[in-house]
Amino acid sequence: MVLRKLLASLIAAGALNGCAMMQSVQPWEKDLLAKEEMQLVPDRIEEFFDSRVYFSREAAFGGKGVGGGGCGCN
Amino acid sequence: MQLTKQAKKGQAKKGQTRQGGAVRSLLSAASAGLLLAVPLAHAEGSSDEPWRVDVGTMRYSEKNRINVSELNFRAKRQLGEEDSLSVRADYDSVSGASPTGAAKIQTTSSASGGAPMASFKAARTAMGVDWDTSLTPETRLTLAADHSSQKTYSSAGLGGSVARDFNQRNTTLVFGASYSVDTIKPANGIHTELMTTNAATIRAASEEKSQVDLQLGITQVLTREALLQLNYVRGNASGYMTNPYKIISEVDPVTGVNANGVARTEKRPDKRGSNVIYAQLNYALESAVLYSSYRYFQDDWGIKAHTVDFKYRKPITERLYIQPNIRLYTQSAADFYRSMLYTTEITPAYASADYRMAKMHTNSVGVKLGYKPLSGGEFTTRVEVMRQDGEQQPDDAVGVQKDAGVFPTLDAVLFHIGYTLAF
Repeated sequence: MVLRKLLASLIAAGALNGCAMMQSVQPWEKDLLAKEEMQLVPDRIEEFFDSRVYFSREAAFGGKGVGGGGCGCN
Repeated sequence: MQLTKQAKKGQAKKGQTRQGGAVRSLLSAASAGLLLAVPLAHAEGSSDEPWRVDVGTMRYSEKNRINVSELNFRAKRQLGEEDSLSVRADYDSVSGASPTGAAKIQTTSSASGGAPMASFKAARTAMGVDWDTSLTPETRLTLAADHSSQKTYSSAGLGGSVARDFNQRNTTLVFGASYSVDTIKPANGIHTELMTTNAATIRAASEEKSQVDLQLGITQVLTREALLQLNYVRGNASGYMTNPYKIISEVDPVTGVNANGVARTEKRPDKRGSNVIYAQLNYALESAVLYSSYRYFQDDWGIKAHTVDFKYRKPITERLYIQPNIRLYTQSAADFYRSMLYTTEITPAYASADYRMAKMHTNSVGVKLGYKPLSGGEFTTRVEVMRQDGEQQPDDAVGVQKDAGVFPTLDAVLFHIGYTLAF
């Protein structure tokens, strides 16, 4: 059920691109987006520490990608 | 049997070493170990600077509980235009005490101290490798393998993800999958579940647990300044998810008196399905960047959790930046969470008094400084403080236990130093 809802929203988000309301950002306009600090995970070690700490202290986990490898039983 | 002895005493004394311990998950590879975070563009690694090396050290200290010291190493090598290979290695050592789950007091005359603790000490090593390649000019494949081990716990995982760009690279769709197997081998063996600690016997030397994760994601360039990521991750875990180091006190249903410190081992279901929706927005404000994220987590143990996280990175000079952050987390209790059992009740099918299964919240604030010296590279240092609190008087707490308070409030400080160099 959740999966179905999510699929619908993903498709809707994708469909937005086709709409005139959202103009595509051109390659030469990606100066800001190309910066290292605009990456989804700009600092991998920081990300690693945070997920380790919170994973071991809270019931919820994941979301940023796959791989709960070795995540124990919490 | 160490578990029995400790339960009889009501609490374990500090100095008694318990391998692994309830925070073994801190030592395990955790989600970040194998995390396949897909970069938006090929921003990292160029033929001029094919190497990128990150080193870091962290100290994580909890007030009156555990301390973790950790060393991390990451190296990434660009192999031509299409491929890159990354390796990582981590070492950490943990020592200190962790709440057992037992009630704070036995009788009305007991001193009401903190939650009963079990002390332990452990060291862990972890290694991983990632390979990233282009299948077509628009499609990238990442494969990852991870392994971590310590005396009482080991884990091995494999993962892969495919990311395809559309719409002039303004849209990226990601599909990812991973599989991992963990082995839990407590020094004192796996005990029979939900038995009084006197009667519990060793039923196995070790147990296994496996986890499969599937990810469906989209990354969308919204404007010249804004990037949005939406993820759905489905997790299916199967196997031994009981915590072998936790116990639950059995108290009088009216007075709350825990006569003779009687406690039972815990038991959790051997299946856990979880659904996570994650949204992240990176927004460039002139030279600064605001990172905002929200996560909704839900599983079939009855846990629902919300997490919001904000980071704001602002340059102070050309070489120095500051990044304050705030994180707020809240969760509901698992269906089988019981702060205590009653002497008169029929033992339930599942029960855990682990505070991490309780209704609770975590608040964290931190600040990071980054400095890029003329000689190249980047130094970062970060401090974060965290406070975790929950219900002191949950509905199932009775009598003296209610008065003593149930939740073991946690205060922790995280300190981190890192250096990154591309060459």
